[in-house]
Amino acid sequence: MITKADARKIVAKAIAESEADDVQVSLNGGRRTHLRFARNGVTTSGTDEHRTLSVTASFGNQSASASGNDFSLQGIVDVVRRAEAMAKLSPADPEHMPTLGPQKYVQVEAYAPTEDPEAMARGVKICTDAASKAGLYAAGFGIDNQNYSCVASKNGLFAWHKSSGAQVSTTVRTTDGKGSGWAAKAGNRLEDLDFDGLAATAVHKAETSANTTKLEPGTYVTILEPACVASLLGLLMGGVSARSAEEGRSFFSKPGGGNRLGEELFPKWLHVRSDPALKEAPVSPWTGAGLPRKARDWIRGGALRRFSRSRFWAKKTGRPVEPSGGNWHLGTTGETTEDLIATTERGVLITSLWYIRGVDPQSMLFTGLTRDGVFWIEDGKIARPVNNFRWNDSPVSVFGNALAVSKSIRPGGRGGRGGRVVVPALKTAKFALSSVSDAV
Amino acid sequence: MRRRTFLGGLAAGATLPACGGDPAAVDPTPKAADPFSDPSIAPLMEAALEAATAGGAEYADIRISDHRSQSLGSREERITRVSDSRNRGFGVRVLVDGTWGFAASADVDFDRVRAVAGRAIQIAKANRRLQADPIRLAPVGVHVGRWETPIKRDAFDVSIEEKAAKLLEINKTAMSVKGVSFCSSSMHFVREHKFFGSTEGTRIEQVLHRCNPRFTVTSVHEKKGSFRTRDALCAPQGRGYDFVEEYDWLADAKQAAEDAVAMHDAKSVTPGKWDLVLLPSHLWLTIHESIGHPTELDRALLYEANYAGTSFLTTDKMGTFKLGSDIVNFTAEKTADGALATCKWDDDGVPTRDWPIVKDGVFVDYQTTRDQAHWIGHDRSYGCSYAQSWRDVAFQRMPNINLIPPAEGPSLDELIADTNRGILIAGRGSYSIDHQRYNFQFGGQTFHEIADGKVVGLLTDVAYQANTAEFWNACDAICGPSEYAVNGSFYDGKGEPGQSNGVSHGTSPARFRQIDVLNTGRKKA
Repeated sequence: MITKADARKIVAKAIAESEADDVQVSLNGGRRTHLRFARNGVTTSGTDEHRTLSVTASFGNQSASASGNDFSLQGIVDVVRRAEAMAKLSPADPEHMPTLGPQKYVQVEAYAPTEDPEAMARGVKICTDAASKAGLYAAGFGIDNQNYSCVASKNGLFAWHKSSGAQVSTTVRTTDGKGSGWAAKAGNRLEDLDFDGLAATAVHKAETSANTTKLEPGTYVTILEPACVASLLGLLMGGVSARSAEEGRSFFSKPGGGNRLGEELFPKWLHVRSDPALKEAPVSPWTGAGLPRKARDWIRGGALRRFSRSRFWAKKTGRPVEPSGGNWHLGTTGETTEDLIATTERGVLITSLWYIRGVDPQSMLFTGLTRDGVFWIEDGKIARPVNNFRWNDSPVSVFGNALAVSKSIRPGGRGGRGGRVVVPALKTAKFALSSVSDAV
Repeated sequence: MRRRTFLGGLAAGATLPACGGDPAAVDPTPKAADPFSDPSIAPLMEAALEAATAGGAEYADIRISDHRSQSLGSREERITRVSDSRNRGFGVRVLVDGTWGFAASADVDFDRVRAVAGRAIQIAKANRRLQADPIRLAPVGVHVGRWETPIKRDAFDVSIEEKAAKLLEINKTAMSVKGVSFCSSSMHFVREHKFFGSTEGTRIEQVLHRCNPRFTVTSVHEKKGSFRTRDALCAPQGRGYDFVEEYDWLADAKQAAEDAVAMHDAKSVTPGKWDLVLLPSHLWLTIHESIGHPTELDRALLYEANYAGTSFLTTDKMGTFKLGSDIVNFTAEKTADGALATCKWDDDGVPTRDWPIVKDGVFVDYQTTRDQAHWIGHDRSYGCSYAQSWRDVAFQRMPNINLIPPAEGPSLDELIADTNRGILIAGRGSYSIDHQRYNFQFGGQTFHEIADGKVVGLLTDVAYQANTAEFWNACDAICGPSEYAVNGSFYDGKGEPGQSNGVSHGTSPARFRQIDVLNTGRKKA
């Protein structure tokens, strides 16, 4: 891991070496340590340090980028020269924007690296021991990351950010293959992860999800656990680009032109915001090009309140620049998932969503599967495990038909890919389960 | 193989503070004759493997690699992105008391290869207490040699100007069609130059080339408030720039533009049972998801349970399970020219080959690596190990898997003429399948209605859902070898941490009887 002072020297050298009219230099790197397990034993494990130097050189409106991972003087010069050579051969871009100058950023504390090199192996042993003791198979993955990023420009921009993060997930299966439960945790630091809670949840779900009874496809009142809500919120907020909407190729486009900003699509109480300094899931206070991120409301009072907007599109349309959020927070009521179940007469509880793909961008229709724990709720209680489903639905509909939410948490994801998202479990009035999946 | 100076320039040693190791360290004398195009590699390998052996490894290997990647993006009359990356480093894998350890670094020098080998040993030793079943490696023999993807023109030797001109020409062609609003196009090229050495004596050098050119045409109908898109019908290939030169981009771009505009007024499909005639540009992905992934042995034995999932093709079904109709035969290989997974040796150093996966409709075998072969009683690996870069752990990845066309199969025209009521589907669209590979749903790029043996018009809002075994058992016709084409995926994801693998699937058009089709059109939420 390089220091801020090292980074400053490297980017200054790259800028000094460049003969381009304008140049932006980025450094990204860090260390990752990971451990994978299956059938109650370790499978692969590794550690590496990685780094990338990227240079975007511009001659007038002609630009190109090059990158490399050799931070020696010769490596830096090589990257600069490759970027310049390609930029000179690239057609002029009428949408070219000059690099940013000095910016002010909010203070974000996102670096809390692990101090215990044995913590991951110890935590994984908790998972495998819990599964073994229950006569089950555990598979899973833990990863600990420490990262740095830096961006600078010939116009005086300099930004530096360090972050850490850890995630662990486990899937516990019955040995006869009839039950499967999943749980995941994410945090800013490995020591913050509750391995005991993780193992207990996955073991409980594996045991209680076994021997399902059939539930017919249909549209049901559905409680989506936080990991599901995180997936769907990411899809929804991934579609809030001003340019796409105003070019007529997004759900938020309006027939005949314009956009659907302010249109009442969601319950009035639904509140989605972003904040780089969000304590549970902090993100860099700047985007890759150095644009400052600030705390923002995105959905409030029943409607989408803002679009992300690039510098070029802002200039063209005379509207303010708006970087993407970076993290998302969906407001909480303080209830628990159990409270949501207790107030449900008949409905479905879903642990996890899987293999989500877009079907129709016009209506923001997606398809996917359920996975590792689907339960039928009757009279305020979990009545029985049921089969998995394929679903075809839109996040606009899921959030638009939201009835209640629980307390927000930062859920983990599969493959260590849980986002920097803080969300509750959510009860929606309708979720379209279109066909049965025989998978367990 | 052309000679490339892998570590060229490092000896200049002009490092900035705290940014690298000691590239000018003393070079030990190599113990084997140098098999590599770059003389700096063999001594580094020997140093790493010696350190691993001295640390207690019963087996070790090292991969040193240099990955080049270049991409250009465009929309309408603009080149929006030109980028070129170079990423070099090495990874050392060790086996200690039957437990794997792995460590990697971007600093390719003698001090670091020894230190990283030591770190890998530490990791393996630390994880021994978590080991349930000791790793066993299938024998492989000693292999020494070099290999490079056969290409006619290296994409990295083609100028940015030439590539940009091609993209802008594609966009211009599409935009010239009335009703087209946008066209974006891109090219992505990868060149992996990697060296492999093991304590068993294998020394291999390979250069793998891949390319992924594509475009998307969009038509916006402002009055209707709708937009339609159509992607290119080509797929990435394990080839050089010659593929970009040979594919008829302008014909595809013009047709795509006309399709996108026509879709606004096309008939919305009537949901229900339809016969499907699936073209190679579409069917490859169905093969990939429903045959490729469930025949991965690690999935079948729960090693991927936490992420990619397991498989309905459990080991008790090998040799008996009727996965498809009698005409369905799948072969796996990593040897076909132009295919994305093709190489001469895998990342375990195992020579690649071909083998049957499904024979006369019966599931007969899996994809394997050295540490998996014994799980199903095999005494050798099929050579399916791959790591996407020097810093990733090699594990089982999908080879090319192909649907074998019957020698006497019909032509596409004959197949259509033989279809009373069906849908002809081309191109890669939306795709989703469950974690045991039973239930899938696929879209496409274009859908044409077949009525009374003739293609009668465009349909929209089509997706089909099926269960894997029911689907392949409904396959009643496969066109002959003259209709065979190879398509594939540039970024097939698997593993934790996630890794990407290129893989191709060859097939002729095929027909599937009475498959559930749904209408994906719906009112806005």
